[in-house]
Amino acid sequence: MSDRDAEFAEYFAARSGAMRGTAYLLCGDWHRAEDLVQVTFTKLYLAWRRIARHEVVDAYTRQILVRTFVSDTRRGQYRRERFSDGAPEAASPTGGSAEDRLVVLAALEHVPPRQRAVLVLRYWEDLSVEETARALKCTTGTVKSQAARGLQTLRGRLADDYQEWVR
Amino acid sequence: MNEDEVRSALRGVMVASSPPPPMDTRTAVEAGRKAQRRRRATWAGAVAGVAVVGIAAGAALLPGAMSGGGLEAANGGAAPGSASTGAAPSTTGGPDVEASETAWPDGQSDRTATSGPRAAKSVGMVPVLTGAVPPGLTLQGGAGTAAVRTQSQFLDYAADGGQVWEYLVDAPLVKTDGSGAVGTLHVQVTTAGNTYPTGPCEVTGQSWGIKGPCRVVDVGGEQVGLLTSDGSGDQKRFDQLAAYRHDDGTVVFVYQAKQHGESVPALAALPLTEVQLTELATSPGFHVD
Repeated sequence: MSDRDAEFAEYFAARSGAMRGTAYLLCGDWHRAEDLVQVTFTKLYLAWRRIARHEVVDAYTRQILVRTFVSDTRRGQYRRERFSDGAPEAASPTGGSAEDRLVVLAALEHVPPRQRAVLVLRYWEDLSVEETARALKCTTGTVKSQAARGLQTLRGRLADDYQEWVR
Repeated sequence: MNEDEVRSALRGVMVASSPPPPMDTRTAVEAGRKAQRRRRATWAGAVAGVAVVGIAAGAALLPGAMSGGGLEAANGGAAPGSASTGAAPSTTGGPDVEASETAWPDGQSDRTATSGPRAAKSVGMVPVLTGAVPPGLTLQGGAGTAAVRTQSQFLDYAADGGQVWEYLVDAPLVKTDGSGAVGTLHVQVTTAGNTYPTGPCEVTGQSWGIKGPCRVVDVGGEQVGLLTSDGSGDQKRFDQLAAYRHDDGTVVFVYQAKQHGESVPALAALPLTEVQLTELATSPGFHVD
């Protein structure tokens, strides 16, 4: 294995798990998350030589991931297996169970992709508004408005139940 | 629901879900390599397209320059019309593919090494070929006949991280009786680390599209595949191929043909006998790294 491949393999082993978690929150399915991560790292491989400073690799990889997700979703690639509309309302959270937590995931599915990407980057990856804007190639104002709308959608889907499972 | 509650909810989602086993690193690296190969192939096609357009434009704009039609002879030298020297020849005529931003080995800007030790290796194979030319034929035809061309190109990275290279020599064999007939000898060496099949005939499947019946010939205890074209392959240019694999995996293909392009008359017979061709394939001079 060449030095380039060895470095890439080392980075993949270290970071693919975290990226897959982010992808899972974005698309709501582990298999699709792995597909997304695979596509992301393939794109990263092609650009590997150009990324001289490894402290920016994470940001670059995350950027590929979310843009690929948004782009693929826009083309309808991830629409086929959405959660059913009735799931959030049908669930009966009782505080802290796995089923309750997954209600959040189901609710996230109803948040438009770009807003979902903003929520995941801001509140899962803990990126700043500026960093999120760079990752999604938009303005900070757009990030703020998309975050507000995304939160509003989540609130609407979860209604009063969220008070139970956030405890 | 405030921002802290969203954070808490997302963490809860991850805790509640059961992630599958870690993804396979080798699969990821291989996917990257494949994507890179696709990108290179795309660029190579684009470069070839540009070259074809350039040639067509040149033919249209400079009919006088193209009407000579002759090939320039050079024993172990540079490509016709090329500004390169004997130490740094190349048969590539298209522009560099730097725009692909592909990382080539040793700081190269594309697949082909046009100077340095890699380039010198294909040039170094020319005397081996010259030594095998039978009486009545020569590589030296003088101005207006033909030219030997060489090329050294990176093929891929080997499984152990080493580099696999291809070294090529394409030599027109000019009849010395003044008839102007020209045939071809063409050598392609793929260095160790390649993933070609090991069988003498099986490995001919990696040749440049020449197809036909193949038999194994014994050359001093070494097994050489000898394939005679039946015209069904993509490559119609060559009539016969000898394929030999060294113990370390280095693969040598020696092609021969009665013709050397359609603009010059062909030889009446193949340049080499089958014995000469298969012996040439096992020559230590083609065992390069």
